[in-house]
Amino acid sequence: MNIRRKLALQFSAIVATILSVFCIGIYSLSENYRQEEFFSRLESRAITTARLFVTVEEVDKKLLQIIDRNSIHSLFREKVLVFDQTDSLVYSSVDENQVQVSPHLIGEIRQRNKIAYEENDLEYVGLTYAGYQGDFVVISSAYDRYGRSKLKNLRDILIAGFLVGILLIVASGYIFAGQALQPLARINEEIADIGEGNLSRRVNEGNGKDEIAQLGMNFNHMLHRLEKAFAMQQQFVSSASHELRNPLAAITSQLQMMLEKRRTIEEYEHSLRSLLEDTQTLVSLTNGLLLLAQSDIDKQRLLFTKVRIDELLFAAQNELLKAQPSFHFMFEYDTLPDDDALLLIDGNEHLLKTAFLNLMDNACKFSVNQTVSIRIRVEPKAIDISFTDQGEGIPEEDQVLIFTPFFRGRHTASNVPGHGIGLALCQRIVSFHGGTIHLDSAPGQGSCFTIHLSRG
Amino acid sequence: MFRSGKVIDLTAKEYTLLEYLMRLDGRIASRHEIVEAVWDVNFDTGTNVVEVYINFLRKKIDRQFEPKLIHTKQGLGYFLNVLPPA
Repeated sequence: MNIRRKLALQFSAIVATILSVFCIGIYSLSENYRQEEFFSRLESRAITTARLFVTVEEVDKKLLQIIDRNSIHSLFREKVLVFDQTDSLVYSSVDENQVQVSPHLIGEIRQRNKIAYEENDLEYVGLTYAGYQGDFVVISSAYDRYGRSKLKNLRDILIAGFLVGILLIVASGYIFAGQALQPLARINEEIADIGEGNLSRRVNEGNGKDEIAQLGMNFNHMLHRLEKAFAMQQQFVSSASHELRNPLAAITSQLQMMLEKRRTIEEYEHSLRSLLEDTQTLVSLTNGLLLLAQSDIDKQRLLFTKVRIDELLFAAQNELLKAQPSFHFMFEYDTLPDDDALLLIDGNEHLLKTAFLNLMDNACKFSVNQTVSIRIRVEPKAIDISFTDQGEGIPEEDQVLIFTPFFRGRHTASNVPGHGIGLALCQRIVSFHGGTIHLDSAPGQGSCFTIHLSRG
Repeated sequence: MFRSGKVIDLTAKEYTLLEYLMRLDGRIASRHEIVEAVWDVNFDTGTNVVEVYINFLRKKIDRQFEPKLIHTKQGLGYFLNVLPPA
């Protein structure tokens, strides 16, 4: 069931309930009032008859019957009975043979002095009337033709009003719900049309004020982010495949050349070595790509432990020295940390080491004397690690793009190996640890990358 | 690592530094020698890593124990020995 129908139905059900309670209330109150009024009329009738019969000597049965039947106030199917103290019928306004009253009823009237009840659509009032020799019992009954027909009329009006009202409510509820939901349906249609092919489309933002406009705006924001992410993804994939193609092409052509004819053992050895180098490049590249892709995965899956930042830096230094013995490292603590706990950071050891390795490797590669100077600065709530090289510096226009995957500076000499993913990776790793990475550089003055990690 | 039956956790560099000092057998090692041997830094850069690590090591090995093992020779360097009480 759609919302429109549901809203209309719920609304109608609520109003119908209220309306029916209202109608039933009016009807039963009117019915009560009619009966009360009729009972009091019957009562005054009984009292009048009893008074005439018991106290006015001149009036006898016959005369009283005539008076009763010709009274202008006479009621429909009216009957007045008077019993004396011995419970025998002494007066009846109708033919006495038709009268059947159980002694039990008379007993009850004597006991309670006055009763009123309804039986077979006839209202009865019974009461006692004090006479000289004891109490008389008077019973008067009649059919409330006028009251009942009024009540029936009222009932018909209420039923008709109720039905017409319900019809109007259902119809108007359906129309209003439709009108209120119409912008939603419109947005819905627009959204259904947007696919991966036309992410640049935007939905109508309506009047820009109400909830539906908010929905449209939020949806547009989401589309905007999606579009950006999608474009980045596409660019990433194309750059990645481009980077992967070059070493693969080199490997293929080398293999083809080797297979052209028989070679000497030395030649095979030489080319195997070169192939190994190429595959190692490929491995490091794919590892980097994998890490870049992985840094989107949830933090839960990565192991975070207490990491000693300086020890990790020394470990990275050792690793680099194994591959590049000509690299130089200078370590310096900005302030002498008294407590070694100040050097502890919650983090993933492998990822942080990868970031340090990349920054140290970069700094040494671009430094004229292959030296990186590393400063560790301990603050009460954070640790700053800066990596300074003695290179040419990075031009300002390249500084904004330096952390973009696959970006390589225009002035980067082509003999410096790299794919342009190291810094992107560093940034992802650092932001993953809730930290920031910052570049200070000016052409001719070297570059300084500073990692800021907050502690716990 | 144990001292007087108590466990002492050393980091990799702290351990390397301690091992180096122990191997010297009481001889004095200059800061330059230490930085070269323990940190593979092959030229003196005026770094303060040695001070920082000697400090860490002292805290872990000497602070709660007697006799003190790590000593400073002003202007010359550091050495590890059990000194007779002065």
